[in-house]
Amino acid sequence: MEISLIIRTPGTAPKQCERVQDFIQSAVDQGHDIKQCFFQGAGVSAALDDQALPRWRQLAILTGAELLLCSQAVEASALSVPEPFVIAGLGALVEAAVNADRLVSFV
Amino acid sequence: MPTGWCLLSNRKSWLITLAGGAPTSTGDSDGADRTALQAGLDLALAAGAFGQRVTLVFAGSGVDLVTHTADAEDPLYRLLGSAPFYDIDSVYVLDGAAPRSAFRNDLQVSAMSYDEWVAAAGEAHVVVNY
Repeated sequence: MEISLIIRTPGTAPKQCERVQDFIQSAVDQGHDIKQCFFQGAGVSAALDDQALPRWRQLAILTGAELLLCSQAVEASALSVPEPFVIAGLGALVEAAVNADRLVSFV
Repeated sequence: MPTGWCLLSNRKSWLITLAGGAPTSTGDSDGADRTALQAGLDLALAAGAFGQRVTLVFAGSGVDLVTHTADAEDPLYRLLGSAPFYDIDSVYVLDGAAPRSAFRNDLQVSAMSYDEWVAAAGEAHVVVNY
């Protein structure tokens, strides 16, 4: 199954962020494909959190998934974007949702 | 293969529910998470702009956006007013969340029962709550 994710989990909730990463790892272990992780709103800060970043890099290599940061949130916070993250608009999220078998949202 | 066929094959049904989430430190005086409402509405309009069939449902704190008692100059309220330009011709309010007499006049707003909402979620290809 091809799965895309919307991640709105705030960086102030590290346990919830870990749960998202665990979900991805578990999905891959069970043979699913993670196609895209779209970080929206407060989720952008979670993606760029120093503690979380190394594992996101590992998961990017493991899954080959796009790790996209919502352009609106990045502009609003004037953040610099390290690899493997890429800035993208909602069109990319819509495309991924259309093509995926499942869209899973984390808050 | 005709281009139109390709476009149609990519047309999915979406159910997006805007409830504003739980009250947070970023919430306004009513406890609504306006960031969530904004994010959900942006996604709904983007999906509509890309030719998706969007059913937009309001509940909880999101109901303020579809009642004429809200501030008509509020940016989110005005943004929702543009929904028909994105082929979102009607929006729904979960039954009992607001009296029908309070629905705003510039949009086609209808009540949706919980049973209808659950059925819509079962039929939609993409279901997202904000």
